[in-house]
Amino acid sequence: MADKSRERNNAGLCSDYGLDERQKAVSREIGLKSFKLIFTVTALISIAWFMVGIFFPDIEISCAYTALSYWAATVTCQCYYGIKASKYGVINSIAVFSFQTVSLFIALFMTVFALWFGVVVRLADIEMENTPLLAAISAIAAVNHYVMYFCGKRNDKVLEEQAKENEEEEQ
Amino acid sequence: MCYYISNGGGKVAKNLKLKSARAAADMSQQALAEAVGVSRQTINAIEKGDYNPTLNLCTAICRALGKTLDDIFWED
Repeated sequence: MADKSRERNNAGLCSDYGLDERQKAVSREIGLKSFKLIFTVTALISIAWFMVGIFFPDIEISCAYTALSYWAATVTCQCYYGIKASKYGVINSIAVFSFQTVSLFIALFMTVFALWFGVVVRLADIEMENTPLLAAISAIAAVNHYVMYFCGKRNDKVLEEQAKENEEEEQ
Repeated sequence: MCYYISNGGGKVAKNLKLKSARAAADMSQQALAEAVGVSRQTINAIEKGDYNPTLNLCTAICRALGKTLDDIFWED
């Protein structure tokens, strides 16, 4: 039971479970850059929404669109972290396993949702509210999980290449 | 003269002393890595000068190889 909860807790991208001190140092350096990125992007989005509110007071903007923009920014920064971390092979093995299994499944599921809301509903002229929003949310989730799947694959490949290089050097 | 460690995490010279001490002890990078509880890539990075280990790791490596800090991490 304890092991299962530990696996759940460490299946995320930002967990440094099982990493050694060098890997943690690399992971945290990338994390710091990601934090700077998310801070900048969030600040810019906040300023943009503030400007819209000031200069176009008559426009009614759904809270959902505001939330969506922040979520897109968060996902972008998470993808940035994942891509950089996988480049150095510092994503922990439990997270890599979950990316290669669960993420692909979720990505495919979300792609179907995005296509349904973005294409089928429009073409079939089915009456539904907020279809662009739902399509956008599904598309962002799909992209996020495709990127995580790619990061898991790349992380494994990097580790394999490093192991090969080491073996050659040892010989 | 200076220690490889605690210089701000920058790139340092190759640690050939570690490599030769490991070879003299007839240990592979993997075996040393397992003995000190890190990945083989980390031992490789230390030998190549790509990573500055912490003092804890330095002492663990020295213990595993039966050497002192001066033997392995002191640069003449």
